[in-house]
Amino acid sequence: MNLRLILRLLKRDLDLGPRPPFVIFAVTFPLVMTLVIQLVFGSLLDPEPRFGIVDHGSSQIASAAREVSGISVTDVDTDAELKQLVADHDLDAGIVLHDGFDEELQAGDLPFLGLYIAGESLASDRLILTEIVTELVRDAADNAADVEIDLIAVGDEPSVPIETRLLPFLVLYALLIAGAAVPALSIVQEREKRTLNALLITPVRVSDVLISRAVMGYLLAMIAAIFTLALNGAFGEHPWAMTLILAVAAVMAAEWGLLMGVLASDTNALFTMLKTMNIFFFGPAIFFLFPNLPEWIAHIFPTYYFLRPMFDVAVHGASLNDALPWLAAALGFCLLFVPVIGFGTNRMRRALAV
Amino acid sequence: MTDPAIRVDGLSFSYGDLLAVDNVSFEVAPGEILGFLGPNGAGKSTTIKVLTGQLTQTSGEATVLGMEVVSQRDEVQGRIGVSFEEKNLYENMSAKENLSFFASLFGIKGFDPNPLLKAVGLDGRGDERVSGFSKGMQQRLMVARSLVNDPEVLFLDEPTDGLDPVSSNAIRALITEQAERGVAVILTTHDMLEADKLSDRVAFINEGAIVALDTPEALKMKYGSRTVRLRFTEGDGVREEVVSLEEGNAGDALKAAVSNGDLATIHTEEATLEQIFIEITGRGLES
Amino acid sequence: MTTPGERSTLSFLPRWSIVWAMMRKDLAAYTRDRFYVLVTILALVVYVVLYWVLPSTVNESIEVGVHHSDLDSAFEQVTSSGTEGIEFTEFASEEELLSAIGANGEDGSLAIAISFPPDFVTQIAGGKDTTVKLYVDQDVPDEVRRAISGFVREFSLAIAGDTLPVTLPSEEKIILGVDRAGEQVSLREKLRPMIAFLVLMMETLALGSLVAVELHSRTLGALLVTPLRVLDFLTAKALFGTLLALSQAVFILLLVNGFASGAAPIFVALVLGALLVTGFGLISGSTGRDFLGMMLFGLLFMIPLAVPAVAVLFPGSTSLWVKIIPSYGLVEIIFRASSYQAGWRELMPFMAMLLGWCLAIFGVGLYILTRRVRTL
Repeated sequence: MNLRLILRLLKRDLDLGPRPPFVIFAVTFPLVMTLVIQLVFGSLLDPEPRFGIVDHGSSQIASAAREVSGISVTDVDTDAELKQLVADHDLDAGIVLHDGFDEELQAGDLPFLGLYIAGESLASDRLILTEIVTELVRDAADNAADVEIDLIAVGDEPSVPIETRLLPFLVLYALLIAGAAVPALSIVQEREKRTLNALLITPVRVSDVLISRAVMGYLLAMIAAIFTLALNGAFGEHPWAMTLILAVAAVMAAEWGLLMGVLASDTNALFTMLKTMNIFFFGPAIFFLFPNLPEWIAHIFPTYYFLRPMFDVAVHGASLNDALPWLAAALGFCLLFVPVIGFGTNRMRRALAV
Repeated sequence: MTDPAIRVDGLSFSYGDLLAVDNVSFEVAPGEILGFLGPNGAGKSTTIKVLTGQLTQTSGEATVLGMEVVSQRDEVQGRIGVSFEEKNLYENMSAKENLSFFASLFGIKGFDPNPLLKAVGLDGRGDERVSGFSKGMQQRLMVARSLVNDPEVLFLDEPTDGLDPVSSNAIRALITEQAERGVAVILTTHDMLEADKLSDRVAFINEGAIVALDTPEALKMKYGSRTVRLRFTEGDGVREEVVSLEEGNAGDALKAAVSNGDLATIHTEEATLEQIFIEITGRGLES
Repeated sequence: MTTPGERSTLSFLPRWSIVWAMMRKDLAAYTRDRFYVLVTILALVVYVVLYWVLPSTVNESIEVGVHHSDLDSAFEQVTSSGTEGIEFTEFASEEELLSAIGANGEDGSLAIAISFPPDFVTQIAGGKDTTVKLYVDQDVPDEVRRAISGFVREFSLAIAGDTLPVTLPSEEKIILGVDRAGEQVSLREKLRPMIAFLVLMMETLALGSLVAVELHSRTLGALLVTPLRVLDFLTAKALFGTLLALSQAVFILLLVNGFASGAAPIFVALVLGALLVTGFGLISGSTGRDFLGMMLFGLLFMIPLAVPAVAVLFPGSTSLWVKIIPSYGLVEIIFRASSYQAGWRELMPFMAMLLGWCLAIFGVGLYILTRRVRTL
């Protein structure tokens, strides 16, 4: 192992290594996924009922409806437009308040309330929206019920929102693409183009090449993971603990990249390997997404041992002391990977010699 | 007199403004081996590509087996065999599968790849994947593939590249055998020894034009000089003396030289094709 | 004289024996990559398992536990007329109710529960204030809490004979569009187009790889000095890609019950969809400078093409910009035919759209590959 040669190789890799399209992909994918998750997934799995209002006379009902939390309110210009939106299920329900509605209501004249419900809306959404409308009408008519509701909260603190539960996926993607796939690809391309053979007839050894790739993967993994967590505001209350966790995660990602790089004979095989072995890499993220699944299964995945402390620090405010046992286990897995990488390296050496 | 297997008349080809082949004319008779010699970029490959239908000439005529390559490309390609310099085999298929597949493209039914594999020294390796072949084995398979359709004309680009002497000799024997069967062969090579050994005639190409075309012997007679190299033992060392046979008194000079010491060896030397090429063009075959 | 590289022999039909030989060779190449075959099979299994694991029905109702002592007739009147959106489970005692909601520290089976006081009816009928306990789990969203609270209030007002002080449209005019209450399309049914799309798109990458390999390993050069012509090559690649994609898509849709309704239009859509992805495969295989480039181009296509399949998962009409994505027609046909039993007439506009895109993309793919081949 020659430190000077390793640094020389690393410098060349960082200058030339990852091809621009792949680097763009590696950097933008976590960003795109963050935006997608924040904007899209939350509303897919926990959708808010959508409510439309046509308010011809500045009704207090309309103003009150806009203040209601937990529903999405849209102001619509015309009755026909509202009905079309409801019919198309672009809204779950809507009301039309004609000019003078409030006055008629307070006078007890039973004003006409145009209430429309989308046929494709869920029954629960219909219930929610119609009860809200009813409540607002009653309030506007000073027609409250003589019943007080004593709201008693039960259970543990609220569960983690879906956008946050998807965070492990994001971080794993960043680690995998930047920290594992880039060095793996670099190794495989050197083998395919036989530039690795050219390197190995100089003082450079296979170990120098692999270490330089691992360092590159490590640096890229750290940058990508930090970037992803920062983008999601997920560093938690103990940023240094988080940084240490990411450092361990980056080691595992870099090792993963080395392993794939030495085992894959060409880019076709690498691509296939990325697809299959990623089930093993990503597996534990499922247990964060669906907390009801038995957690003991997640313990068989090596990546779980940095995902768990990362999640606890980011979401539950865990400290470094809480994270240390997990990190020790993660480092244990990292040590276990070393002989496997060694086996793969020997295989690669034999193949290169042919 | 039999019609030539290949006839090229005033052939030119340009890549845009670059004139790659400049008014080339030659013929190759059935059973003849024509060696194409020239440095990289001289126009050898372009000429071959025109003759094999991969490119269409800018001007001039090219006929193979009496058929115009341009207008009867399908018929021409059905009766020629081509071995490329670059390896372009299907690496995830076996040697037999590669040959059988190409045979199927020629519409050959009941094709047996074994005789061809044996001819190129790959018998017993037919079921192995090409990805596991050495460079030399792949080259031999390339030659075998060029013979799949029992061609009447062969275009061989560096057929013995990467082969050991024994395998090279086997391939050369195969080429000679094909020529003896009446197959016309165009052989592109950098190996002047091979060209010298195999070719009935040699064409030197430089900057797109044929600068010489004759038998190797005639070229050597016409260009370069003949000498005799004598080695004498002197004490613990060796002394060399070279006598030119071009002079009028060559015989006397040789006699005097032979009796001028303790003669160890005596060799006649003649110009190599490369030396002749340099003399004609002012540049080497590798430049 | 023809220009360099241009074929002087024109023929408009491929030679099927040669095309067949090429396709057999491609199939051998495809199946020879055991890893790739394994991944393909694995992906099919995962999709099918995912489909069948997801619930087949949509839980539209909010489950609410109820304890009351003097509301039998009133409550029965409410529940028998069917309170849309709420499913009541009655408990004989408050202890049982608290246990069901997990108020005692145990895991509860319900998230919301209502406990009416013993003299509720008497109090309400007498115009007196009374208190109803509403037990709510921390995870219950605000709007649901509000809705159940509203229900309780309306229930009490109904007992008091106090109707809502507005005039509503007649019941048949309130529901707009097809009323699917109780017959909602489940998430797994909505995923069918996505599954079919993913299977088709994976074969884009497979075909792209097959094309890229021929171009970059220069085997194409060897092919072109045989009787094989460019047209034969293109036909073989296009046919192979299309059949491969189509067979896998049909197979997986069979496994996820995709042909239970509208089998014929769905099959036609899959054929067109297979042609579409083949076109993209030809483009990505010819355009990428190497395998990695081909893969990135393939993924680049995949992301926008996936948008219509994702859009189906969301309620509401589709935005205009989504409708112009080439895969939109395919997704709509599969979804409408299998989930809404749409017929040919309703599906024709989508079929026409898909066909148009098919011809365009396939044409572009063939053109690009032809140019690439001719400039080798």
